[in-house]
Amino acid sequence: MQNFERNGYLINNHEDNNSYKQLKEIVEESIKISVKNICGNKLKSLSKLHETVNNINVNEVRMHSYNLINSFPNLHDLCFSLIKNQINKLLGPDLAVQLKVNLSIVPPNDKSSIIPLHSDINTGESIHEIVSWIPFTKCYSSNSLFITDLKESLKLHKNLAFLNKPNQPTISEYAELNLKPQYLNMDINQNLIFTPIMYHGSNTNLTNDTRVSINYRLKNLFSPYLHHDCEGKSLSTFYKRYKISKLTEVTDSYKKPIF
Amino acid sequence: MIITYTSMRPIPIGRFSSKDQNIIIKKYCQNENINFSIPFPEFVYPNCFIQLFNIFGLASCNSNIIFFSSTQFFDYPGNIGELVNCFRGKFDTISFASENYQINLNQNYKELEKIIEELRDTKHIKIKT
Repeated sequence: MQNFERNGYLINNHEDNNSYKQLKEIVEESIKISVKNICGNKLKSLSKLHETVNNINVNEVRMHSYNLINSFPNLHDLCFSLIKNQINKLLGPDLAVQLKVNLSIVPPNDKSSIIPLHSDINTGESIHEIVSWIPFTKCYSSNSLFITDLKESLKLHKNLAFLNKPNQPTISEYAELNLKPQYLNMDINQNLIFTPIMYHGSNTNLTNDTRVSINYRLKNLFSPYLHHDCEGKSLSTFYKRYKISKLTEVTDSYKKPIF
Repeated sequence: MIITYTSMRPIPIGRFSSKDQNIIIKKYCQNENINFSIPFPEFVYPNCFIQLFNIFGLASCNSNIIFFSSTQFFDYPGNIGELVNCFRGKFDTISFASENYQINLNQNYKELEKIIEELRDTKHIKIKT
C-alpha cells in the first residue's frame, strides 16, 4: 500500500486465480465468437488476433465482444475477486462499480487504437475512483499501457492552463519531457490498480503481439461522483451500487418520520 | 489518418455523454464510408482545448478530423485565424457529425473561420439541458 501512496498505482498478483481463469474464458470465448461472426475465421490466440482480424474490423470485433462480455451476470464479481482486499483497504466496504466493463484490443501498428495521454478526471470522472486494469495477454513495451509519475501528474493538473494555447508544447510533448511515461510490463497473473489522477495512455503497438485487456472503475459509494460539469458519470448512468457495509444495511432500512 | 474529437463539457446544442457522441460519430462514419477510430475527448474545463492542440501535434499531414459538433468551438478563447491555420497545417477536411456537414480546408477554410466567429458571438446562449 505504501507503493500506492508513493506511485499512485499498484501492480498486484491476482488474489483469486480461479476467478481470473473464469474471466479469461469469458473474454477469450466472447472474442472468438465475435471474430467468427464478423470475419468468418477461427481465432488462434488472443495475442495473435491481428493474424486473423484486419485493423479495419478491430473496433467492430471489440464492440461485439464488449456486449457479449457484459452480458455475463457474474462479471463484476469475478473482476472484483482479483483485488478485493486491496480495494477494501483503499475504498472501504461501501462500493459503487462502473456499470459496463471496457474492453481494449490493441493490435500491432493500429493507429485507431491509440488512447492519447489523459487523466480520467480531465474527462469528468470522479477523482475518488480507482481504475482496475486486467490484461489477458502478456503486456510489455509499446503494447502495454503507459503511466506517468504521480508527483508530476499532480503538478500538471495544477498548471494545466499553461498548455491551453496552439503552437505551444502539446500535452503529449510536455509529458514526454516531464512526466516520465513508462510502459508497464505485466504478466497475465497480474493486474493493475491506479488513481485517475495519474496521466496515462497507450501508443501505437510496435510489438508483434496484440494486447487484450479490460478495465473498469470502483469508488466509495458515498464519495462525490462528478469531477467538474460533465454528463453521464453519475450513479445509475455510469456506476451502480455494488457492495454495502453492515452499517449501510441498517441505515437503508431506516424510514424517516412523517408528521 | 482519421481523427475523431468529442466534448466532455456541455455545448450549445446540449449535454451529451461520451457514449451518445460516439454513436453519432460512428453513424456519420458509416454513412460516409469512413473507418471509425476511438475519439479524443476534450477535457471538461471551460475554454479548454488542450486535447485539440494535442491532436495538432499527433496528426500526420493530410489527415481528416471529425468533430461531434461544430458548436464545440463556442468557448474557444484564442485567435481564430491562428486556430484555423493549425487545422490547415494538418487536415484536408473537417467534418461535423451532428450537423452532417464537412468543409474542405484546402478550398473553404474561410468558412471554418466564419463558423467559429458566429459561435463565439452567441456564446451567451444558455446550454440546452
